[in-house]
Amino acid sequence: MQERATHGINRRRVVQGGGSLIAGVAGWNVLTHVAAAQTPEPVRDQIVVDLDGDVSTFDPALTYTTRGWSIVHSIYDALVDFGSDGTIVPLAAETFTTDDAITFDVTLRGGMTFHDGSPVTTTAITRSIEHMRASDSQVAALITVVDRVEEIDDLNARIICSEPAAWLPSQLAVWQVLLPEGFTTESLESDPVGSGPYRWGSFEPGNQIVLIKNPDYIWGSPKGQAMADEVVYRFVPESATRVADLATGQADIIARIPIEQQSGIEAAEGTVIVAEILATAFVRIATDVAPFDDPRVCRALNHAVDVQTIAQALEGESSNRLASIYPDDRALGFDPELEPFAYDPELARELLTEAGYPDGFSTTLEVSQAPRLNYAEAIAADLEAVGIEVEIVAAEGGTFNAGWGDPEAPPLRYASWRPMYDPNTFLSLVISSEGFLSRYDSPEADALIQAAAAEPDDEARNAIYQQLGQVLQEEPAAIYLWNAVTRYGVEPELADWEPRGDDYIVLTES
Amino acid sequence: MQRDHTHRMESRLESTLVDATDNPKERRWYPRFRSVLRFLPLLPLLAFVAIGLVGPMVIPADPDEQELLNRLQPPAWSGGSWHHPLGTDGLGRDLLARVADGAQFSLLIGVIAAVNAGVIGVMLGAFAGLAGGWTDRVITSLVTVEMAIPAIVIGIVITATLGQGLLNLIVILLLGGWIVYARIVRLQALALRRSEFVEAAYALGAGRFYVLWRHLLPNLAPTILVLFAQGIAAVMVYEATLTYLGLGLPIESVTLGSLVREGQQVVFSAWWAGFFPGIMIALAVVGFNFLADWIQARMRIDRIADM
Repeated sequence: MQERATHGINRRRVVQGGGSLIAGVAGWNVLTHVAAAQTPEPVRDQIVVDLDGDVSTFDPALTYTTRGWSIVHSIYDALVDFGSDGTIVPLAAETFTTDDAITFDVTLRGGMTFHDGSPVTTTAITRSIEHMRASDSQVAALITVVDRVEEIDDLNARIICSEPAAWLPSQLAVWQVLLPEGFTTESLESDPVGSGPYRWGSFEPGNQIVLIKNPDYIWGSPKGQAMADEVVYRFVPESATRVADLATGQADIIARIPIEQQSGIEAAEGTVIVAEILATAFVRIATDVAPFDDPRVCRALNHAVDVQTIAQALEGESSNRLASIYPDDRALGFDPELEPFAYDPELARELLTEAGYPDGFSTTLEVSQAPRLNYAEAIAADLEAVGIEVEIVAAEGGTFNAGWGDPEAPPLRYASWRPMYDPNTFLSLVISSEGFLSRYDSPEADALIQAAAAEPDDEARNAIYQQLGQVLQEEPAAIYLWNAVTRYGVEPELADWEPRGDDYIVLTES
Repeated sequence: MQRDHTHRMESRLESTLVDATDNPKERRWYPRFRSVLRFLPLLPLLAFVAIGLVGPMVIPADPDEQELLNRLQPPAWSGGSWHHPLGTDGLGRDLLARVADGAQFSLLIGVIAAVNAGVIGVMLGAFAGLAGGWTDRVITSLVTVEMAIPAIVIGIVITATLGQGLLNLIVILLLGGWIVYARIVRLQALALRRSEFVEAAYALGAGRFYVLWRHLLPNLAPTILVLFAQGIAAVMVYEATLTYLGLGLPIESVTLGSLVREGQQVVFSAWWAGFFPGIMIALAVVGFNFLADWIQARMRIDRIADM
């Protein structure tokens, strides 16, 4: 099987290590290796990417999907970015420092320009934050922690928060991209101008978007340089169609391949790249309605589902049952000591009987998009085995996302959250009782989420999040599932392509 | 010239017939073979009905039981095991049991919808043909309007407004199916209305319902039977299309259309998951259409025999 796994380890580092090992054995080998490294790889004319669905907005503040971020982070740069191991690395900022997590000192790199030729200055930071505040974004409330941006000069600024916010950099990395002078909410959709490696080409709604290489992106960006003169992102919701596109050469990279399609790609001589992105899969339980307002019922749900078997069969060998919402040790709050719920249908039945539901009950499970039906059906079958009748409702993506906080929406929903480097966004939105997407209410959890958000020290934050993990086991907010992976299919020439750890398809290489 | 040609044809036909009956060997096996051959067209339907009606009772596997570690097993003869003769689907469920279950459900829905569409269509068509005038005009316009709207659009609109469900699906199928009956029965009724025995019945003081019940329907029976056989096939394809598109029934229900949809997701790695449900749909369509032809042929032969 032509399969390659990318982990937290940077493959390039491994390659370099190999190089130095060869140096000790035969000197000429190193010379050719270095010479090869110095010759810039020829840039391809065009790369066609099949995304797993539609992108309907390009407004950075209103983007919540990795599909959308693939486009947004191709066009724009943020101050900081996620490194492959999940750490925050400076991007448009040359330095980004803080002592107390209240005041963040930023120095921009000199010489950067927007696609319209105007220089990137510190005003772009202010514009970005003001745009988020004024928008209808689901995460707009989080940015209110920024009290003001002090623009010291064109390249130096200070972001000052009203309270400690150690999570702010990860928020900035996703949503706060640098915006040029004179942008409007309309221009963000019709003709976005950023400072990133690609510029806007054209857009056919519901069909595709074309981005063109930004020739002025010549500084040594940690993001790297554009891999092609033109990148076409096509919207192909059917996974079988994406595989067909790869097989017939109509697409060069295809996103989100279900595990059962792997052999189809192999048969077409494509390469499957399995990326261990930092993502957590779960079935959110609406604990504001009966019978889920009883924590015993929520624990019963967790015991009833054979998560480990489903994870291994449907997600892959590197996915394992999670004890809580934190996907793996790259994420803050992950606690290797905390045991996941055991698969124990008997115990589940006992808990249901204790809670007053000896004969079970019936409920609905909402899920978006066809490939996820498999997961929902497997979970539903396990729940039915302990007497919980589950009706599965498949919702179109937009409807699904609108239903998070809706008290009328089905009480169970299968979802995955990515990237989860810093859990604050997820916790503030989905777990905190005041969260925009939340149907969970635990004063204990609320207090811990607030304490962690205001804690400047990473180790102390980690400890608080671990404590929250225990609370979330006693009073589950979800059926905790597995750490999700993502599978890309690529044509043979791109077999060495390294996907990002956050599942954005931004086609750059260093 | 023309006569010559016909004459030649006749003599050739004659000689063939003579040959067939003169050969003593053929004389022995041919009639028996022919009587078996006569039922050959019913074979696809018999196969479908056997799997759909008897299958769910005799197949030991549970169509809903998942064996995640045994997912996407190929059919027995191409590397799988006889434990799952047609292989398993994406969740390790037995494909044979699911195909049988789906066939049963699809057949049930097909028959229910076709019967309902038939009753409504025949009634409206007969009324239109018998009554004429305004009744006819209203019903005919209704038919014309509905024919102008593609059936699939009706399906999408109803599912979007009323949601998914068995009852809604049957309503959609009924709306798509009644027109054929109405149109053909109306034409036949128009013709029969002017026939002497109907006029005689009216002259003897019979009411419209009496004429409909005692004269019209018995005369229309062969046509309706043929239409009904074709109707089931059409309705089953329509139902499969709707469920394939995700418009018909809730996700958990197993029909041939939903099985094809599931199979299509894995078509590049597990061809069998969509292939066998597809074959079953084909069997049903071919089977019911053959049945319709068969009925038609039988009726004609009987009528000729009567004369």
